[in-house]
Amino acid sequence: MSVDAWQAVWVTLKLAGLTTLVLMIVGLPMAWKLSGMKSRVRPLLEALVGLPMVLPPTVLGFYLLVAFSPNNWPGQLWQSVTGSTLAFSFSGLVFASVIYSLPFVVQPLQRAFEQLDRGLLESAASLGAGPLDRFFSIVLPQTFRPLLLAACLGFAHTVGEFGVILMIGGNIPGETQVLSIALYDAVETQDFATAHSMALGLMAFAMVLLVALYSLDRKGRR
Amino acid sequence: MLSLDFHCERDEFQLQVRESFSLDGVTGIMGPSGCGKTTLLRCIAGLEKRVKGKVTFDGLCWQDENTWVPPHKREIGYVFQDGRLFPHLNVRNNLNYGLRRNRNRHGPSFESVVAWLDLIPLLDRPITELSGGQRQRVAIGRALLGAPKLLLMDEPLAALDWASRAAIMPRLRDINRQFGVPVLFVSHDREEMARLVDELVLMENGCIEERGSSRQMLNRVQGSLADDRALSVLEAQVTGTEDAYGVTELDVDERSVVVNQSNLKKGQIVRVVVPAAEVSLCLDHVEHISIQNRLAATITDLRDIDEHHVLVSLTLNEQSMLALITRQARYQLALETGMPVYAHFKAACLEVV
Repeated sequence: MSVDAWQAVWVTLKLAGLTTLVLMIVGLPMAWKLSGMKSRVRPLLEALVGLPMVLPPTVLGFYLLVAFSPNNWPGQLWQSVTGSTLAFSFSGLVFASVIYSLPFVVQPLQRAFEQLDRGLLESAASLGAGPLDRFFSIVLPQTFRPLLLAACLGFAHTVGEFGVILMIGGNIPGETQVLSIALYDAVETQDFATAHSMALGLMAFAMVLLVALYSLDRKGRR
Repeated sequence: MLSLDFHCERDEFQLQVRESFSLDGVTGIMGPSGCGKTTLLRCIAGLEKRVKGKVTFDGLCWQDENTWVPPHKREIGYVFQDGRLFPHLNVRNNLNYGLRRNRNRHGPSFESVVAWLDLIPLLDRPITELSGGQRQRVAIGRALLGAPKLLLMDEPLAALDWASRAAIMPRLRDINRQFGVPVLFVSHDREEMARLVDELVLMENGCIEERGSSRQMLNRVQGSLADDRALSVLEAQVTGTEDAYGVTELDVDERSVVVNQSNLKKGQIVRVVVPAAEVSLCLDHVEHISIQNRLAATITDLRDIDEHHVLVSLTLNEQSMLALITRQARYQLALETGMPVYAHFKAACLEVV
C-alpha cells in the first residue's frame, strides 16, 4: 500500500479514537439524564439523539456544511475562537462524527442506565456516598459491559462513516482523507490492488470487532 | 431528637406528619401496608424529593424552605427490606463501603460488628451466594459500620423465613444497647414490635394516629391492635437459674412466671411476650394442673372484639396483660370488671427477649 493509504489508516484511527473519547464524555451524562427523565420533552430529545440513525448521511453532511461555513454563526464562532475553519478540517470531521455516531453510544448507555437498580444508589447515598462517588463506585462497575459495548459501537460506526465525511471533509490526504474515502478514490482511479487491500482490511476489522462484541455480550448474559 | 413537620404528596396518597421523637432506644412505626410507613422513613432519610416541610435532627436542620441536606450528608444508616447489597462487591467490600466513607466519625470497629453478626465465615463470599438471612445480616452490618447517628430500618425481616428471622431478632434488640444508635424500625408485624420496640407509633392513611410506650399500646383492649391476634408485653426480672427441667423462674409484679428458655442470667430484666389467645381465665385457685403459670389478677376491662370473642384486660400490680376468651366463656363465668381471676398460660407459649 502507498504512503497515502497508510496515512488514511492513521487518519481513520485518530478520528475514530478521538470521536469515541468525546462521545463517552458527552454521551455518558446525556444518557444518564435521559434515563432518569420523566418530562414530556424526553421523546423529543430521544428523537434528536436518534436522528442520525435514520437520516441519509448526506442530509446531515449538508446541514453541517452549511453550519460550518464562515458565513454562518457556528462557523464564525469556531473561527473567532480557534482561528481556523471547521469545514474541510480534521476538527470538523471530529465534530461531525460525534453527531453522526451519537445514537450508537447514547442509546446502549441509556438502556443500561434504565436497567440499573436505582435502589443501589439510594443505598450508597445512605452510606455517605455523594453523587460523583456513587457514579464511580456503583454505576460504572454495574454498567461496565454496556459501557464498553457503547464505546466499541461508537468507534466502529465512525470507522464506517462515508457520506458525511464526503460532504464536509473533502479528500485531503493526511488531513481529512479516511479509509472509506481513500477506497472510493482508489476505485475511481482503477487502483484495484489498493482498493482490495483496504476493503479487506476494513472487513477484517469489522469482523473482529463484532465477534469481540458478541462474545462480550454473551458473557454478560451468562 | 427528631422533629418532623412535613407533607409529601404522591398520586392519590398524602403523608402528613407533625411529630417529635426523642429517639431513646428503638422506636417502632407500625401500620397496614400502604399507610406511608416506608415513605415516612424515606422522607427522613432524604430519599423522597417531593416532600415539603421541615426536618431537624439533633439541632441540625436537614430540611426547611431554604435547606436540603442530601441523604449522603445526613449521617444515617438505612436497612432496606431487600437488603440492597452491591452485587459487584463481596461481603467484605460491602461492609467496607460505609466504613471507608466515614473514617472521620467514631463508629464501631469492623471486627466488633463482624463478630457480633457472625459474618466472619462469609467475608470473602460473593453476594449471590448468600441466603436471605445472611444478606440482611450483611446489610445491618454495613449500615452500622457507616457510624450512623440514626438507624432507619424498613421491614428488615419481612422477606425472611421463620428460622432466619429468629436468628436476627435478638441481634436487632441488641443494636441499641450495643452500639448506642437510636433506631427507627418500620414493620407491620406486631410480634416484631412487641419484641423489639420501646416506643410504638401507629400510622394510618398517611398520618400518625397514636403513639406511646409499646407495652401501653399493645396491652390494651381498645384501638386498632385489639383483635384476635392481640398480645401483651410484660416486663420481668430473672429470679432463678435454669433448673433440671430447663425452666427458669421470672418475677412479674411479684408473681412468679416460669419460662422454658435457657441462657437467661439471674437479675436480668427481660421482656415476656404473651399472646392473648394463649391466656385462659379461672375463677378459683387450681393446684393440680399442668399449666405452670397461674397469676392472680383483676379484670379491669372487657370488650367484644367480634361476634365470638372477648378481649379481657387484666391488671397485676402495675402491669397489665390481655386474655382472649369466647363470649360463651365470659357469660358462663359471669366475668365483670373488678373481679379477681387467675390468668393461666403455658410456659411454652412465652417468648422472652
